[in-house]
Amino acid sequence: MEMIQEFFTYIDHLFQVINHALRMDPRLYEIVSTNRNSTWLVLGVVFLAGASTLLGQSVVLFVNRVRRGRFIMSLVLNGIIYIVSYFVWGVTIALIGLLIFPTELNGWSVVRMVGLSTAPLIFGFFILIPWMGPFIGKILNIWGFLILVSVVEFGFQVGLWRALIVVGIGWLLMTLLTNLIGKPVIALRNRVWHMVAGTTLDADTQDLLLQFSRSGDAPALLQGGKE
Amino acid sequence: MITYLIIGAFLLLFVTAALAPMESLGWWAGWSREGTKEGPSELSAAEATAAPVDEPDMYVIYLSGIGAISGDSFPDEEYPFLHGLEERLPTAKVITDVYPYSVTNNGLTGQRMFSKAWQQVEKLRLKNPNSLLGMFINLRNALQMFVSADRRYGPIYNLGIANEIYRVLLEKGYRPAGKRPIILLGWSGGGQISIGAAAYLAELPSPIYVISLGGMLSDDPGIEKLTHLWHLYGVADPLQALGGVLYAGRWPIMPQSPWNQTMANGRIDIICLGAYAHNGKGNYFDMETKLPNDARGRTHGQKTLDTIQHILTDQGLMERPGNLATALTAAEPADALPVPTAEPAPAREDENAAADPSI
Repeated sequence: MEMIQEFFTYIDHLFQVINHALRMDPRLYEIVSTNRNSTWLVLGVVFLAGASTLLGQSVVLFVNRVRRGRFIMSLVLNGIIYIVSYFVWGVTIALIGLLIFPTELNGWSVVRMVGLSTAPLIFGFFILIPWMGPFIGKILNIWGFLILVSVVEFGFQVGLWRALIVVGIGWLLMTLLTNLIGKPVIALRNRVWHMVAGTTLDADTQDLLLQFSRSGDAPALLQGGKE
Repeated sequence: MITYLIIGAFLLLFVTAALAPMESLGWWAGWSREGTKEGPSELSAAEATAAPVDEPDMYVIYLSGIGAISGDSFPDEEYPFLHGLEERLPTAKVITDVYPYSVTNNGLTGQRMFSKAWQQVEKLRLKNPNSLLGMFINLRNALQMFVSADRRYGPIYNLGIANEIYRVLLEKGYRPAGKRPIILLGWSGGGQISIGAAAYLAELPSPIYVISLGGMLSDDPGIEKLTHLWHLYGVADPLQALGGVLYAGRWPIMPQSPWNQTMANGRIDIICLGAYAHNGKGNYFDMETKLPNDARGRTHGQKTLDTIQHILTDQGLMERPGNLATALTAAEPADALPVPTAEPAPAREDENAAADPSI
């Protein structure tokens, strides 16, 4: 009974955190710093954002004919990948911020706050919407970026330009790291993807249709239409 | 309270829109096999390629607008038009039983989870064609049209529709070896789906033509594979004009897009029918409202039929209406349906020609 109550309290707090993050509410920092469950709340937000974003881009899973069970596992995997990615991203931002603006702030709080910048991506499944989905995806990414900037602004008590500098340097550093030591990490990630989804997921719709048209499973038109 | 209701309604609309591609994606991934028809698509390869026996001169496949509920249930106004079409194209096989808003040709009242609800909506619409609930059919089908036009889903959706068209064609006697022309006549959303399906139908040895009737057309890559596209529109029809606004590939600043390339190759004709509306009085099918300045006193629907007939004649797909009229007289014209004009209107250079640019 207690567990169920805790679960509902968690869900309630999760909604509150998402709500504050989406509004870029300065109270968010206070909630994250004081709530004893804040790490789990942030993990919940980032996980949901990762799963929802993949759902929005799930055409790649469908095109590759991923089965239902593997489909669900792929969403879970993307949630976990998001948690790892945003942890690295959060640590990068926190380190840069602490180096440039030495404060007595808790770096761990900043790492968690950076995770909350994924809150808009909880609506990532709207990317599925025909015609306007990709546009919605861009809006959500811009929204997330604005939250990130406001998190840095508020977390380090700096102005907009300084916050933008921290985020910019963080981005440069991440790009550099990806190019220098990223290859083995990406290879590992791709191997995990292959295990979970059962396909490499690197073919687009046209490639797969072409490949499929030559197989025995192809619909009548693709198979028998030609003379 | 009202704010929450509005937010809730928008959220519901967005979720519905996000789920729109699921039917075709699930079909492709093999998640759902509901409504899949057994039949001529399983014709043996030998049968499908056998020498044609007594085939019609051409096949005209009518793909209805977003108001259609299944392959055999269209809005009432379309039936007189379809009868007129059959009469005017006596040497063609007119096919109307492809439902363009389902990759498996499964109408809304067919084997579906919510088929009972759609059946109720259909009943209500039969009683009152302007029923607000009928808008749900339009919304559902409009979303499928957007799925067809979306580069992410279109290749799958349009394959499903093309496959169903091919299946029905075989059922109606089409044999690829006969190379009979295939004309897709797409009304409204059916226009977009026609050009989408054409990408695959072009694999057949027959020439593929599309006549769009107020279609909301995107810059679908299928256009490039068409033999020819005619887009018939009315100046009082803002919905068909939306295609040119919503899809950047139709903007003049994108000269390399499939639409602009095909336009440049002269394989698209845009034909203005006059002050036609998309729905309601004075629409493309209206057999009652007379055209204001028409020398022959035709109704909107009659002029639409005349224009289609003229296009096909001009393309050499059927005989001149003069000969046709003789053929029709001999072949018992149906009651109360418009009879084709005896002669095609000569090219006019006076004022009427400007008011009546089609034919």
